[in-house]
Amino acid sequence: MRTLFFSVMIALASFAQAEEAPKGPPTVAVVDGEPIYKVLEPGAIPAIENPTFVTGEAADGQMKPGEPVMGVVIDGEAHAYSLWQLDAHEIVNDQIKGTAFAATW
Amino acid sequence: MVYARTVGTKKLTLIVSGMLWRDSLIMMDKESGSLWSHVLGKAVKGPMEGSTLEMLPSAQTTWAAWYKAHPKTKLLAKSKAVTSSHYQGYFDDPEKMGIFRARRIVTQMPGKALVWGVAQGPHAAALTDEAVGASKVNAFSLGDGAVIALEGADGGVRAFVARADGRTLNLGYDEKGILRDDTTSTAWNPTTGVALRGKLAGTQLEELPVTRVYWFAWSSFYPNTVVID
Repeated sequence: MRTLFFSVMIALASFAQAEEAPKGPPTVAVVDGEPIYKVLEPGAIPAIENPTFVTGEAADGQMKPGEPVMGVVIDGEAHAYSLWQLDAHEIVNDQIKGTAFAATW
Repeated sequence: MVYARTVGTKKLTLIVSGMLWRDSLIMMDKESGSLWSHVLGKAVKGPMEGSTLEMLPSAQTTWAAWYKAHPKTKLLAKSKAVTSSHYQGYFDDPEKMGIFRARRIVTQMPGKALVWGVAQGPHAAALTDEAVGASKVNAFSLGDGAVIALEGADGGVRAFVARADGRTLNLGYDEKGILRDDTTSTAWNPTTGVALRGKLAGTQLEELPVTRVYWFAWSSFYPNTVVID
C-alpha cells in the first residue's frame, strides 16, 4: 500500500502557492476526529475499470525480473499487476470467475 | 491490498476519489458515491457508511519470483512502456512520510521502514523483513488467535490462523525443509496453507491478508500493533 501519489503532491504545491497564507486543501468531512481532505477531482487518477491481461510469456518480455508486483490467486487462476503501472491508476476493478475484486495500491 | 467488491448482492466499481484520510487513499464507489478507506476497507461516508469490503489474500513480491511460482499467471496489460516507479524519489527519501505530518506515529523504527502488516479486527502485527526470511516461521497471537507468518514459494509473505481440527498447531520447518505441525506431523504447503500429507491432509488453514506497508502508515492505523523483528 502506498499512501500518496505524485499528482497529489502537485495539487498540494499549487495550494501552497495560491495564497500568501496557505490554507491547505479543503476538508470535506471529519471522520473519527480526523479530516478527509479533497485534493483532486474524483477520477482524476483513473482507476482501471475494464482490465485486459497478457500471458506470463508475453509479460516476461515487458517486465524486469525485480519489478514489484501484487498477485492474487482465486479459484486456481493467478493475476499479477505491476506496481509501477498501478502508480498511475491506484485501483484495478477485476474479476476471476464469480469473484469481483479490486486490486488497490 | 485486494478487496472483494461485492457487498451483499451489489457489485461496486471503485474509483479514486481524490480525497485523503489519515494520509491515505479514499476510494469512491460509482454506484452510491460512498467514500471508502483504503486501509480499513470500510465506508466512512455516504449511503453505504459502515459497510465493509472483505479483504482477500494477496502477495507482494517481484515479477521473477511470482512468474516462477505461478507459470500460468496473467499480467495486467501495460498500456505503455512503464519502466520504473513515478515515486522513486518518495520511496528513497526517509523524511517524506505522507503528505501532511504523520500523526500518532509510533517511533519503534524509522517511519519509512517497510513492514508486513497483518490485522484481525483491532489486533495487528507488523513483521520486519528480518523476521520473515526464508525457512522462518513466525508464530504469534492476534487477540485470542494463534497465527503464523512466513515467506511463500513466490517470495510473498503469507499469514495463516494456526488452527485446524479443533486444535492450535505448532508449526515449523523440519530438517528436510518441510513445514510440519508437531502435534499431527502433517506436512503443510507454506504458500497456500493446504495440508499436503498426513493426518490433516486436504485441510486448508484460514489465510489472513498481509499488507506491505510503511511503518508510519501501519502504526497510524494500528497504534497498538505488535512488532515482530
